[in-house]
Amino acid sequence: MTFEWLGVAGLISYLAVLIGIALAARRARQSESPADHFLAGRGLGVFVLFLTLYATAYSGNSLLGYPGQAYRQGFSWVMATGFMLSIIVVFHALAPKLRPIAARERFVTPGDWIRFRFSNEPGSRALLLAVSFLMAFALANFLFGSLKAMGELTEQFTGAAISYEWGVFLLAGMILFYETVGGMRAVAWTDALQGVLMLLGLGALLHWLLGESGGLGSLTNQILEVRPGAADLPDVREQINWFSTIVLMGLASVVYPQAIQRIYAARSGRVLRRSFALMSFMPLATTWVVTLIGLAAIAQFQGLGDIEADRVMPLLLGVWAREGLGLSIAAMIVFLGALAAIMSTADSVLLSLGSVAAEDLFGRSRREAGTTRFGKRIAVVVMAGMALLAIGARNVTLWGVIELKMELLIQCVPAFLIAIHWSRFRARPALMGLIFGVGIAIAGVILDSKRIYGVHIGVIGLAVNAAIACIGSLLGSPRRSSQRATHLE
Amino acid sequence: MNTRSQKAAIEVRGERGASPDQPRWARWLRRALLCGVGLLFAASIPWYRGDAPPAKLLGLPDWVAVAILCYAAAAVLNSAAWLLTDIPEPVADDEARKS
Repeated sequence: MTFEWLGVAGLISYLAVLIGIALAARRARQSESPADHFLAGRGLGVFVLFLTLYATAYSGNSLLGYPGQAYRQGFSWVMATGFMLSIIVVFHALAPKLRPIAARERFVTPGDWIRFRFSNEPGSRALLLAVSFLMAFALANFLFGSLKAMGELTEQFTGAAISYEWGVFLLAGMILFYETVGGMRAVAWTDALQGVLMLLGLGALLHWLLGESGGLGSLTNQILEVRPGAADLPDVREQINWFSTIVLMGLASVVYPQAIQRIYAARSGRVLRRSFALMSFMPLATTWVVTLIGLAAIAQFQGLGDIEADRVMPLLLGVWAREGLGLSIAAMIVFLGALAAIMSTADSVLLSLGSVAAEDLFGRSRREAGTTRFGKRIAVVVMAGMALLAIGARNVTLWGVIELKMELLIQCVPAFLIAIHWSRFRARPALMGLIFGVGIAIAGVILDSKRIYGVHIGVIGLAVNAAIACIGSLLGSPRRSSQRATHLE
Repeated sequence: MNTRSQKAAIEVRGERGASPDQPRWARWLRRALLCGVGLLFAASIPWYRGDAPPAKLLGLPDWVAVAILCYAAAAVLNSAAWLLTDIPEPVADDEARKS
């Protein structure tokens, strides 16, 4: 059996297992309520919560985009391990305060926090819509990146027996199936399987890489022979960019709707903190490994263009698989692990998008019987649209897609991180700040000035956004403030 | 201000939801660990390095090895900080009234 047909057989077996999990999750559901569909009845334990957080955090962007960026950028892409770790650090500022409120108030969507925190204040409805719109945009962008990665990987591994386009449609259809059939429970259970596959796959690939190249020292020498500048010390501008990327990714990722919903879905605070404690180690086990894969590709493949660089991981696996049947099977496990990582993010994103759109953007009440159904329909429409876009816009780099999403999503940070720690923070200045921040980020993208002296335009937008929101809150009507103070004291 | 937004504001000030059960040493240790994480992040970026060409450390260019070691240490401290983090579960309203 050739590696290509082994890939097809592995893919079919994997999809069959996913169908089984989806049907089991459907049998385990307790009701048709949004809380049961979108949050698995708020009953996720440590093992499943950790694996679903892990599989959701490490997506197609991480598995294909990061090796591609390491190939383009060289050793300074070690920064990726830092910014993935910064996400788990920044959650300290949100999760411990948000979780008890969310559990008591029975939150389902990120917008529930905005409704609760700002209640009937002037500007609160507009703030809710603006935050929800940005989140929906980021989720759709995330879905696009994941679908693109799924298509690329499937084509590479089946030797084009399943084309890029069919790969996108087939896997998008599978995600829609298990998500609409089993909701968050199916997503979390499939995430658990996908997380285990991803860890096994990356471990096997790292083992092969280091064995093949004769260790880290030898790998470094091979890279330096081909590209001597790959190990150069980053200059001041690159160092500022390193810091800016840590800030951008750390702050923007904590307002990922799917991450916030996992805070809601945890069985208890204890389960949540244990899961985050475990998650602290995953950047080393995953991001650093995929960075090494991208660096190893510098020695293996020379002269790949920007777009081709995103394919270095499947190209490396192809090389590995040609070395014998045993290695073909190992490569197939890595392929399934990478595919699992991508699908697990896409399914979480889709589930989150359905709930954010139904409840926060379209204002459907979760008490209405049809809200879950409405969320599912939105998921189908968005998935179809993003699948078509992924087919039409294949020539976009994955890192470019990630950056654009983060520049906009980071503008939601004050409405969560400042609002949860500062009682004087008000909705209207928060909205004004968000509008300015988004305007700066969009202007930067349109004018092709995505960085100013290494600092991301989204981080600059966030600084202006937070300044306007805080100053506006401080300068709020004194009468209003004194009334509030009386209530609070 | 209506009752709901009052409750939200009070919650934000930490007057509800904070657990009095967590010992003071645990809170201080958690803060110290998080400060350590911040310092390790600062040390991971080679801003303090001169222009000398990179030597090898653990088979990698030395500034890359230092960055990875900093992230490994930060992961350990951050994990310990999470284990010390108190995330209280909400108390039912009637229980809260009794206490």
